[in-house]
Amino acid sequence: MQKKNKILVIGWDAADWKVITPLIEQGKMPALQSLMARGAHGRIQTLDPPLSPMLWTSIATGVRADKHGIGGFVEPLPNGEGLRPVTTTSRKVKAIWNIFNQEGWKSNVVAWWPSNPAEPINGVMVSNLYQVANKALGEEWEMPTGTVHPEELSDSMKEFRVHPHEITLAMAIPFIPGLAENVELRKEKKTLSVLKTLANAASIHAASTFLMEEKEWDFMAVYHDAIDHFCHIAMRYYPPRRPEIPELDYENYNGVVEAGYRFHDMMLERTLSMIDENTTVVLLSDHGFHSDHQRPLYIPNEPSGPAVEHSPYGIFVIAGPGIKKGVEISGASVLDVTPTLLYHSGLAVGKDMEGKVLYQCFEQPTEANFISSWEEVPGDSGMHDEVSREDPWAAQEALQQLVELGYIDALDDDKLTQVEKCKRENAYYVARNMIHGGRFKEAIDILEKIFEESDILRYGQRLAFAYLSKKMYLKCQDVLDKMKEIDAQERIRLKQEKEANPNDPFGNEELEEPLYLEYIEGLLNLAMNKPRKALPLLEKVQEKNPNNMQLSTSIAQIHMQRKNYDLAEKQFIRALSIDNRNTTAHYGLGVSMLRTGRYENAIDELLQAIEQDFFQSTFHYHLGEALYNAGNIEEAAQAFEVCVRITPGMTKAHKWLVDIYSNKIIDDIKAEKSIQFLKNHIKGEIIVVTGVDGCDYSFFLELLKASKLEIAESSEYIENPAKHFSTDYLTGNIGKVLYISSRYLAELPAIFNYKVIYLNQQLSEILEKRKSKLNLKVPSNAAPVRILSTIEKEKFVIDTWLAAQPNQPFLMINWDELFDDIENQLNLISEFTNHELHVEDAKIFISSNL
Amino acid sequence: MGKEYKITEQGSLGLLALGHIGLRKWREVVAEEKKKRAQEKKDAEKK
Repeated sequence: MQKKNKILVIGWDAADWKVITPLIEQGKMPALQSLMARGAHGRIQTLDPPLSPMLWTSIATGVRADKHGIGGFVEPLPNGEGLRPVTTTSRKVKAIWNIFNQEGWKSNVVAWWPSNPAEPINGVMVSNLYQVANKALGEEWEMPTGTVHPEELSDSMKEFRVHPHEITLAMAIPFIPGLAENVELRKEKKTLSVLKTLANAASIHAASTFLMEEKEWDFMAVYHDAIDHFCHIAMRYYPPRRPEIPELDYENYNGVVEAGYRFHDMMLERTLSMIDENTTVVLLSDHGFHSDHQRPLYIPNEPSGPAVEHSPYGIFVIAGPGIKKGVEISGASVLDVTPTLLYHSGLAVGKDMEGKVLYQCFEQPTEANFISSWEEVPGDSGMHDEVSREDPWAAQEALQQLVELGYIDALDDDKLTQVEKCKRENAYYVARNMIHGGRFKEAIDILEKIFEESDILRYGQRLAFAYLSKKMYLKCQDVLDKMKEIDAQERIRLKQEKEANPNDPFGNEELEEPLYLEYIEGLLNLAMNKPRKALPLLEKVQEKNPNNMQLSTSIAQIHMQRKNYDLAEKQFIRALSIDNRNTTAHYGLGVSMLRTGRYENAIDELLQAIEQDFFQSTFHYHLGEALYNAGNIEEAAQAFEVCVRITPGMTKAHKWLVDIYSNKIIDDIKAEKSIQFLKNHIKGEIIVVTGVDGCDYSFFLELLKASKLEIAESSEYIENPAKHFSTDYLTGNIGKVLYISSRYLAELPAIFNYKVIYLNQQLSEILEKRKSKLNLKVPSNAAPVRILSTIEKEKFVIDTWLAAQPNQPFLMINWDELFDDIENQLNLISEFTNHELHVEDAKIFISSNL
Repeated sequence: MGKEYKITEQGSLGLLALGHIGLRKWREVVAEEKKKRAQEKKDAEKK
């Protein structure tokens, strides 16, 4: 039998490239550097909310919280009379080691969160309660029941636990150099937290090296939470110092984070020395941690509030046989880890898993095998078959640690209330997880219930965002109104709290008040096509939240809608200065540059967006457009081909392909493919009359009507232009003539073909119309600059829209020529529209109406 | 490993990073030193 290649998974909670990369450049993380050189690496996207027990369970199962069942940090005791840390018995699906168990693999799992009580797997499991010291140094430090499987190994595992009080000055000084001269510093709460975290990390590492060396294994998973803890304790003191940070604290604790990372690199070096070259190593984090100007100064005073310090991208490194070497990959998610490792092990991937196989990591990828679900595969998975009781003291201590870190509130006396709160909070996290997975309806049901029950503002905020995403604007407005009432009361409470703690820089909400309500109101107005109302609200929020990327991209979106490309670009650049890998900003910048004719720059930006997120068809679509305009026709064709592979129904891309394969690089077979697609999917043709606002379109439409062309009913248009872009309305007007102001051309859906007649009228005539419409009292020979620039912009919009349409039939009718030579002009229109026009009737109309 | 470490009672991060082996060796030194100090104390008391 062929020897199985081993797999080693190392979890570093909250590890972030933004800290690691400079350390590697300075030669301070040599072990990670060498691992990266012999494998593939990249960012890994977290899920929302970025809470570790949920995320590490998603990493181990490939599914989100509602499916795997771990919905937060704590869960009610089975009797409902209190809380305990989340347990393995709450996990509803198989973890990867359970699947391997069924396949006869031996696994060692150390400190995974959650892993208590340890599962009866074929191998060893050491639970996440293992390292938690619940007694003073020197007292009997019992191993809680369920910490180690198999139970008989418990006694021998005890010796590898390091008590925080064992940490010596020599071990602590690399973290806090000031301890060498200031013994008093050792009594500081922050120092004690650092020492406890270091002791825990050392315990987990010692347990894992022992198991690696002494116990046979095919799969090994070790989870370290220490980087997350070091960062929550001391990232605020990480250089550079911000003015709000007390100087003395900065001096004492600015080295904690770097020392934490370097210690992990030292542990990694040891771990890697214990495996052979045929072992696949995966090193990853579940989320990142803001280390730069994005570090929040305001930590919300709510459960899981410290998670605002988490950033959306963690690290992912994979190395081993068959893995590409020294390459950077993109598009990884925490959900992809289990599917990828199953594939790498030659096992089938569950179709019910929400992640994908990261084929791009492999030198010679082949198609993965799939089964409907591993849950249906019988066999000994090594999961618990009944709920085990755990040591209440150990659980209590672990809870206390979560309280100290600020992840959960201190426990109330009223246990039942506490359990109720916990259930609601977990439901809130699961709802957020669902929203992140695009399952809004189920999330809305949960959020409506818990917001109704509790009036907790953040539940309402999330509900409002969910309504916005589902275009349920009236419901969103209702929630917003209710939140405004609650907020007024909340402000009174915050004011009182502030008065009670006037010197706490992290309790000062004025420093970075999120202004959520204004944010939601701004986004609601934006969604309801009221950019004038939305813009000032969002700009106000931006003043208070200068580092909010989404805000910058939302404001940019308004400027893009209004074709204010300069202003849009400023906002996109602002977003990129916060995170230079922001795909929305690279994409937006690319489209803006495309629309303003800077094609090479547009290509650069769009390629950067694609590098981060390959599977967005619109990125490829606009890249195709930019390449086409830059004269790179073959590459443009490739971009549109990728686009239709990702989104086969993207009509616009097929239209481009028809144009390219019919007119530029002749390929009848490929052209025919897209032609056939369009034949089957284009609903019909509509004749569009357009022009800048103020042109005599109504007279022109009457003229066409007199010529016996059918005109679309448009009485509702004036009040509600958006109605004209609905598929229903357009389907009812196939073959008819419709006026669309140039401002709205971009809204026309691609499932129809359009023939566009552009009405070109003298500028002076349009100006006069505009002035009288606006009731402007200016001398007849004066041209108001604002109106002129608006007209220029509208013309620009028409030009850019036309440039963005492949093969767009277009006819310009000059107003003056129309009346000078009506017969010829009508013949042109007749030929263009393929409709026979009644020229004589048109002439009668003109003579009786002019 | 092929590396030589001088282990003191104070220990080091390097020892912790060696995992179970480093921890055992360091604790042996700590125990040894304690024993030595206890013996020295006893000897001093005898004198």
